[in-house]
Amino acid sequence: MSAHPTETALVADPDNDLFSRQNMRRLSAEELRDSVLAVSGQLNLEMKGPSVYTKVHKEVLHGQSRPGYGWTTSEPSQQARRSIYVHVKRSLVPPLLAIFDSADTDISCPVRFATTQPTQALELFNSEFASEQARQLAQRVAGETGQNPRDQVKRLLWLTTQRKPTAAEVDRGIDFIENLPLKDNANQEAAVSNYCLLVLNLNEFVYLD
Amino acid sequence: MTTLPKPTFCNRTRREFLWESGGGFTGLALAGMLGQDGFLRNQSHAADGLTPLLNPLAPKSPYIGGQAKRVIFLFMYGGPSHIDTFEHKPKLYPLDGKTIPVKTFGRGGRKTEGRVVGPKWNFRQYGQCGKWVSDLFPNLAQCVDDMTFLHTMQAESPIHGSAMLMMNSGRLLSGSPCLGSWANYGLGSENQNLPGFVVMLDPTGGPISGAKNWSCGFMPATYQATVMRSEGSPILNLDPPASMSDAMQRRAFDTLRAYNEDHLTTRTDNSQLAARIASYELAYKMQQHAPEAVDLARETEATRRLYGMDDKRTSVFGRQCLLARRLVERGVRFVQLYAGGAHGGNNWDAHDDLVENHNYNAARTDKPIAGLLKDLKQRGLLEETLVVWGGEFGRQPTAEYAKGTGRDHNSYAFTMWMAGGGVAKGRSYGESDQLGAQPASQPIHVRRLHATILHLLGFDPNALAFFHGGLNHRLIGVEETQPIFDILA
Repeated sequence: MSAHPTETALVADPDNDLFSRQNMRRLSAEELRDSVLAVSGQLNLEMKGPSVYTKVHKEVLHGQSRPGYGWTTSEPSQQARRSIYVHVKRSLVPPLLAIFDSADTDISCPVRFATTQPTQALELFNSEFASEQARQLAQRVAGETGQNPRDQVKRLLWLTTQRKPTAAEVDRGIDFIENLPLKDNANQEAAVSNYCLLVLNLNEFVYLD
Repeated sequence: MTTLPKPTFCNRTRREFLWESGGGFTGLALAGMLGQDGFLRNQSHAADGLTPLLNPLAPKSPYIGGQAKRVIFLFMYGGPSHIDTFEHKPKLYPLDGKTIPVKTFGRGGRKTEGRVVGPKWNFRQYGQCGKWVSDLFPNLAQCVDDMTFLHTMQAESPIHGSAMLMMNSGRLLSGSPCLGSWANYGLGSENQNLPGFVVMLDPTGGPISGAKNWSCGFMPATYQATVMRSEGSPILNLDPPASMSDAMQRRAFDTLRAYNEDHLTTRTDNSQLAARIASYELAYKMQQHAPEAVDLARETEATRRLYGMDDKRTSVFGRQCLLARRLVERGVRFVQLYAGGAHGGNNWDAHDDLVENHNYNAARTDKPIAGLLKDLKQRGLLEETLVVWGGEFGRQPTAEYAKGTGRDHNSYAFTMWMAGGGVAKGRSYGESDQLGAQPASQPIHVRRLHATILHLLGFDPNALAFFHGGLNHRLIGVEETQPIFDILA
């Protein structure tokens, strides 16, 4: 069932109390992280084995009474495994997961929160993880489509939204990629990579219809 | 063989269905009641002034209307010795070195006798109230007429991890929201460009249990503390990626917004989408404002000196205290500073050499805290800012080992103090026995301290609740807990 309401449904059942459509939902922390990795082409689907340690900023490790104790960093391809394999310490949850409302480590969690807050924007846009995945995504798309911005934008929007983008959406992306070097003195590579970061932050990517 | 209940009632189990109907009705009634009180007046606008944002941190009116609008909690991690700092026990000096019967309970277990370690510092009287303060705090002693001392504090555990959690969240086990989360849940934040609950840590590291001490537990992540650094970029991920200038980021946010608005046009029934659009503007604003909030270059030389920033010993904590003032001045609801971190000698946990330990920890905090109180007062902020000082417990009158001055933990009796925000001036509440081992009168459980803080913030501590897991959870726990009315101004 789609979350998309018909006009009649919007009038008759504005709050979806009658379940005339599916409720839209934000991806959970793990789904979001896995989706970013899947789109960037880095997701490692290897199964089983011990859990993996994602890179956690030393500022976060500093909150431990023995900074860095009990934490290591797995090699990149291992870090790119599904979130279910990510090591979580009771007193140290990787920020990306914690900020997007992963379960508290102390109590059983029948229902997750799905908060919306500025720190999530900071995490998904400014973090080292986001930048790195955007860079990987840019490389992936360059390899798949070549250097033509139109092809790149089309492919990027398809990857993140799983539908054919409209002409206006494609033009907006091309504008962005072409304007960054002109107006903000960015090189072409940075412009594409910044656009990759942008598409990973789309509401349509983070929310499921 | 186990069989799952048949999924009926719109694909819910019978239990889920009953649960949700019940929860929903209670929720409606509660929303109505709170709405009348203005508690849920949380509809606000995003930074652009247009996009509606259901912001859980928007300022709310408290239940009663308290004098304290914000809190600075100075956490003396490790457990300072009350009988060497703020509780004068003259009869303890002559007992130094004598083995006497006394019940103690610390990390070394339960004991019924011990060798007394007499107080290692002299006490003098200060201020109009004539408060006795030890020579460890010559600067803070000048402020006693603005402070209220709580001498009969009691915690449930004499072990750091659990006692810290009790002081911060009211529970011995982790998983419950901290005082700062409750304050923000109840009151919202006055400044949407800064986090509402900020924690600053000691340079040596966090306390035992780390992030559990500033966790929002079963509340949504919105009420989690943000750890702020006193040097460099103050908040994790605050700076745009290295490859992106401010102008580029602005352009990226504008383009992102255009995409998201297109997406929204056919999904107007989902308010979260608009909120998420607004959250990027809030993040952008946070990037602009947070660096200003921690920029001490705007402070005068005299102010910096007042906090001891010109002295190597006091510069670190002085800087954090000054930052705390700047944050509360800008509307941050709850700021917690840790004096002391890590394990061993980097905090107040004086198991070995009491004199060395407390001289070090007092010297690096005395002037900064006195500076903070004086500065808040001269700016007229102290009346609305509650300052709380204390550790997770105190220390025993007797030695922990056969030799030396080290004291083990004492959760039966310890001292905390508060200032500003509607607490009495120059008052002392309760006292411990002549040894400082147990309360002689009026014991104060940590829950009563919490009740008092909530009361000062304008809440009925027995009413402020968060529904989770079938229960109305309250910071003060299950039993009715009254604030200490005797210490209110």
